[in-house]
Amino acid sequence: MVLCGIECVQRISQYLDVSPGKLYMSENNNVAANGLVDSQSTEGFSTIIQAMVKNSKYPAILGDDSVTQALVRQWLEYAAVCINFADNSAFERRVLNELNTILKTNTYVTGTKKTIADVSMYYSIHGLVNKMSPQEKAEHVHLSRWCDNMQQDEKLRQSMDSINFSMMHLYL
Amino acid sequence: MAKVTGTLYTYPKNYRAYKALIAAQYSGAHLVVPRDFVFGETNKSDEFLKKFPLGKVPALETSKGEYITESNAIAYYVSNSVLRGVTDAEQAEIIQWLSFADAEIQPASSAWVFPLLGIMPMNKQNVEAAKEDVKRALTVLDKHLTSKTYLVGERVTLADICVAMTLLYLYQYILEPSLRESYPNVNRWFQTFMNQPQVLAVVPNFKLAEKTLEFDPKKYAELQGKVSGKKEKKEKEPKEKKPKEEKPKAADKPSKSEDMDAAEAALAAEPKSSNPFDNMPKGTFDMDDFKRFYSNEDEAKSIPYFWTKFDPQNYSIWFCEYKYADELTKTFMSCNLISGMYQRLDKMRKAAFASVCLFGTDNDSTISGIWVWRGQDLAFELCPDWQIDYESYSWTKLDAADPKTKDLVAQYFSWTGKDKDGRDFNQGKIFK
Ligand SMILES: N[C@@H](CCC(=O)N[C@@H](CS)C(=O)NCC(=O)O)C(=O)O
Repeated sequence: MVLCGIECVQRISQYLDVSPGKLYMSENNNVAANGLVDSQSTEGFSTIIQAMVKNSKYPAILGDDSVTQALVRQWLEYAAVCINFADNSAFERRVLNELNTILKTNTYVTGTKKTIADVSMYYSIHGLVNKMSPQEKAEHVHLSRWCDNMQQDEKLRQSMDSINFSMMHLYL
Repeated sequence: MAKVTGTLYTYPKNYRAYKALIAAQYSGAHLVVPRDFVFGETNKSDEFLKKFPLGKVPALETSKGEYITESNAIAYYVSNSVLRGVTDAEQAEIIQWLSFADAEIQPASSAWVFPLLGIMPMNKQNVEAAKEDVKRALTVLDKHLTSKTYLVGERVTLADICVAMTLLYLYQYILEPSLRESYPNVNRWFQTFMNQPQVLAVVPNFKLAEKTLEFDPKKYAELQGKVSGKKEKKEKEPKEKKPKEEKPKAADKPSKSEDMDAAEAALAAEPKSSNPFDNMPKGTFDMDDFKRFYSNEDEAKSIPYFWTKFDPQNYSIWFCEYKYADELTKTFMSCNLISGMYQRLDKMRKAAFASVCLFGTDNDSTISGIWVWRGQDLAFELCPDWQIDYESYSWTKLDAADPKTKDLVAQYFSWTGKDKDGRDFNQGKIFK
């Protein structure tokens, strides 16, 4: 099972109040959508997310300057290439460590403002963070801090579990 | 909660006033800062003291006739319920951080920054103690911000506004990369805060210190000369309006807290001592020579003359537009606006030239102009004395090599053409 697949795209589409089109997994095991852009089929996590944002009422969430926009695209690719397969434990550890490092100096994934990269990341790694022990959460305190901030947004959280971070303080 | 409307008295770039101005950006409160406020005069006038007996700024006068002082109280009053904290516990935490800023950061920050700015005597022992206090406060903050994005409740509140503003001078003048590297969580939080649109609207172009300011005994001596010289002169003036027991300003050994206020006051008045143009290379463009030529010759000659002499290495050309054209009524009043600005910028004359024009007619006019000055930066930001009017204009730096710049310069120097909406030239004024 991939982490940036149909379910993740559906949640993002719900957050953006847009239809994702008809989602399916392509032969290459990529998420793909029919009818998202005109009547064509669109393949690839990053491409689909960007198309959905453009169809939504929140185009600014792609980043409000060119550097941020480039970083957003970079992190969407990262999601598609790395996070997507982080359901295996070696990959998982690497991804969690990398995200923790980037969030050490950045409040949000691309810098000082929340973008679609944060939203996508939240949905794709929610399951990984949710099963971390308090000690692991403390070891990834920057990722935990970010996740706790993100989940305050109820529209974002939808029906997902609110992850408990209070126990991690025992290990800080 | 009804939105507050009112006048906020302050000198420009006062970090305490920023607290209220930022809170207002979040809440939609409407605050106007009077453009003609003169620190040390307006706030010492009888009229002001009647409303605000301490004579300190920031001070808020609301449209309902309420008078509020103390920057934290003003910021609280103009806040919305999110900024004030939702639960009782959050509200208490916010007050905790406000007190922390005032008690743990502000005195130490001032004791460290002010001697370096030359507005307080340098006493090594005090500065060393202040450094320790700052370190302690930052360490506490850093620990708190390890697991939190904002100080209280996972969103921006008054706590972030007040603590960040109290750290402003430290981040601006002192905390060079090596001094701030031990506080990564504070750095992350501070930069995120400073980049929020509501904050950028009040404090644009903020830059973190690249290098800690160094103490400059000459600057200190010069400033003290100014401050005490000014004070003597004032005391000799026969019709002294001030209350008798006015406390000494930046005198040698006032008590610690009074000294801070005096020092901050001096900070507002600081750059009176020197003209920023003096520290810039003079280059090859002789401003006086050009001004003479422009006054004596026809524009057919003086405009080409300008371009043969202009030195783009050391001088820059700017286009300005008055932002509040909607408020312009009678054309003669608009002209007074331009000449008033020129008068207040007297000290810029030695290395600046401008032609500012009024276009249109009564109740339908715009003001715009071309400025030329020494240096590549927006000159007004270099000297608080020059900051009364400039924020009422938008400023665009022009590329001297661009043919469009040639056209604009020709238009404004020769008082011809129309504004961008097609209003006819009405009158022009030259700054020379
Ligand atoms: N605790 C006050 C302090 C205000 C204050 O000291 N203001 C200074 C300038 S920043 C002032 O107006 N000083 C005038 C004086 O001392 O006469 C606040 O936070 O508003």
